[in-house]
Amino acid sequence: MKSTIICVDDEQIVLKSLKTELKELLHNDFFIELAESGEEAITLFKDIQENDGDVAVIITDYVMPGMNGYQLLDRIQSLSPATEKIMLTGRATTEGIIKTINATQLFRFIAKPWDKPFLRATVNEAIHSYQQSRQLEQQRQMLFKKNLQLKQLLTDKDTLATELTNSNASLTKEIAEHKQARDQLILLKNYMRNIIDSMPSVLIGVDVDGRVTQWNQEAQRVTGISAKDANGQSLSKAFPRLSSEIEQVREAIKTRLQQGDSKRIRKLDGKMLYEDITIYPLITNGVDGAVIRLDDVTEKVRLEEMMIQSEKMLSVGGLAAGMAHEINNPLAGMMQTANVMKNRLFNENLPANIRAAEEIGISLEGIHRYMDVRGILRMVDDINQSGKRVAEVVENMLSFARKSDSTYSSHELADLLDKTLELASTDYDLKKEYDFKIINIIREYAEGLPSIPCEGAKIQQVLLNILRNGAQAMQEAGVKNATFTLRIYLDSDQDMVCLEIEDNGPGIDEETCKRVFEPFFTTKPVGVGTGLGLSVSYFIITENHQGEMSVESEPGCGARFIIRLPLTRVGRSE
Amino acid sequence: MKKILILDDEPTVRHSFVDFFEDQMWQPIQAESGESALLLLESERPLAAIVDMRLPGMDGNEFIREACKRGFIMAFVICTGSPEYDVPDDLQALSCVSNHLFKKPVADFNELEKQVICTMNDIGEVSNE
Repeated sequence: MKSTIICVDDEQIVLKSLKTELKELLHNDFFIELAESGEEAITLFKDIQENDGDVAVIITDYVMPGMNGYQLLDRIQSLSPATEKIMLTGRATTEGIIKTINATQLFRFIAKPWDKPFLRATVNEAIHSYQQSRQLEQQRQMLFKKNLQLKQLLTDKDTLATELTNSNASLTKEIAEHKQARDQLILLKNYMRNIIDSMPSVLIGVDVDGRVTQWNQEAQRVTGISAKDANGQSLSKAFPRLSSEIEQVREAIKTRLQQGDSKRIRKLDGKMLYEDITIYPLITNGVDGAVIRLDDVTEKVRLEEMMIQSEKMLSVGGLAAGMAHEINNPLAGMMQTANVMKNRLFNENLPANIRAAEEIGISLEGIHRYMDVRGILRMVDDINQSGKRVAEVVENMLSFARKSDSTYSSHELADLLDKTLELASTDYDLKKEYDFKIINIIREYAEGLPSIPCEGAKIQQVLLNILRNGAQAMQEAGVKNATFTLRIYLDSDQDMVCLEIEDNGPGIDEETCKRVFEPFFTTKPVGVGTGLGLSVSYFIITENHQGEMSVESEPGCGARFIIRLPLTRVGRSE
Repeated sequence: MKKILILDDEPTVRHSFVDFFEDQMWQPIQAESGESALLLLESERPLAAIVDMRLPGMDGNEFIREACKRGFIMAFVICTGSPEYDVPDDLQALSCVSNHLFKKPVADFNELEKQVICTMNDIGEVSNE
């Protein structure tokens, strides 16, 4: 678009000649506009600016009606500083000229009437200057734009940087979360490890090939092999005892069903130990393998055995109560008849015997001699002995029944023990087996012991049983200086009285110790013991009195029976 | 001869008592139920009785009560095969019932006879008073 040159003068004639002059100089390269006053020039100028035009040069008179040249240029300066300003005057004061030059950045001052070449040169120069400053301005604007762009870019960069920082932060957060998750995983893993390790069972993980993948603390304890050493090893090498289970492990993995052996017996230092082996297939996570669990159930098995024993005793008792009458009657028929028979065969003073012998003409003496030769007396006695034993068995079996306990009263154990010793030393049956009087008795009774509620006769039965067994054992082993050491004391918890009977006989081996309270268990030859004495004793102490009874022995060093009875009556479990 | 009633439903047991008391110069009479024994008391009037507990029909306790009620003065010695049997309080209070309870099988017959005589003496003392 062409730039405009405005000429301002209040004299038409000056304007016309200026236009002519400029047309000649510039041809049609510029619009040339004329204004007759400052006000008209301002309006014109604004018009051009509003139409996106630009004014390159303004040539104005100084003295005009209304707004003068200085005032006009001053306005123009503020509207468009780039427009070159030329003052054309003949009557300006020096002061006005200086003011104009200073304030409006006047390009040139031309005196009227103007010198044509000078005017032309001035206008040319002004146009040139304008164009240069326009260019400069454009460049400046471009620079400004670039600057803006740069600024924008910078802002963008900042935004990017912020975004980067943000995404960086979220990444950091993610990493932190990740770490937290990992920490939790480690924590959980440790926790699981802890759980597995604190199990009292041996827990071993194995893969399909039977190699160890998991080895808990109990496994370490039992084998002495650390988890580090065990991992990756074959099961049969790490835990040879389980090598026989490999097949079961495979079976478990294949069938996905639990496998196992319960109460498997193994021997350690001559002791019988029981263990449960359970094999669980791992069926989650697609991991093929199995977990082997090994539990020592020896204590449980023993407890079970004890309970079974107790149950056995009770059922024996129940059975005995029912059949005692049925046995006792025919037994009475047998034994009582044998008694009468003995009387009729051997009693020489019985009038009926004498009379009968006389009637058939045989001497009693002859009869006796015959029977002596044929061993009839011994036979009759054998019948009686056998009958007695049957009666004893029935009587003992009856002790296993839970009877009413109305006969509880207060007794001092020392007193009961002394009475039993007295009874033992006078007991006829016992004398036959052993002379009790030659056994040394050492009493170690604690003083000031309280008396305890119990059935005196029953407790005496127990004590007599133990003393009798001990005496027999010492006699059979030919122990010199046979001694019973008897101790009574209060136990550490102060709620039981303990009574110990210790002999210096041959002792009891461990296997026998375990079974000694079992009904019908006996070490005595057939016909001597019924195998019920100690089991009845055990029953009396544990079931009737809620006490405890145990035996300790080392072969060769005697045996010690320990009875513990509660100081106060424990509520019956029935 | 002194008459003694043997009341027991088990023949072998009854026979052994009968044989023993026979040898000891008693005249035993036998019954296998309380009901038949009561009839015998009327006709025989024994001085004593060995009484079994478990019997068909009335039991030993009832027999003793009934005999006392009917005014028979005689000694009763109880002899049972039931391990859990105890002499009831009302019978224990009677002087005609021996306070010694015999359990079958009876090992010592002489002791049995002794108790029979003791109880007979006790009654004698009571009735003399």
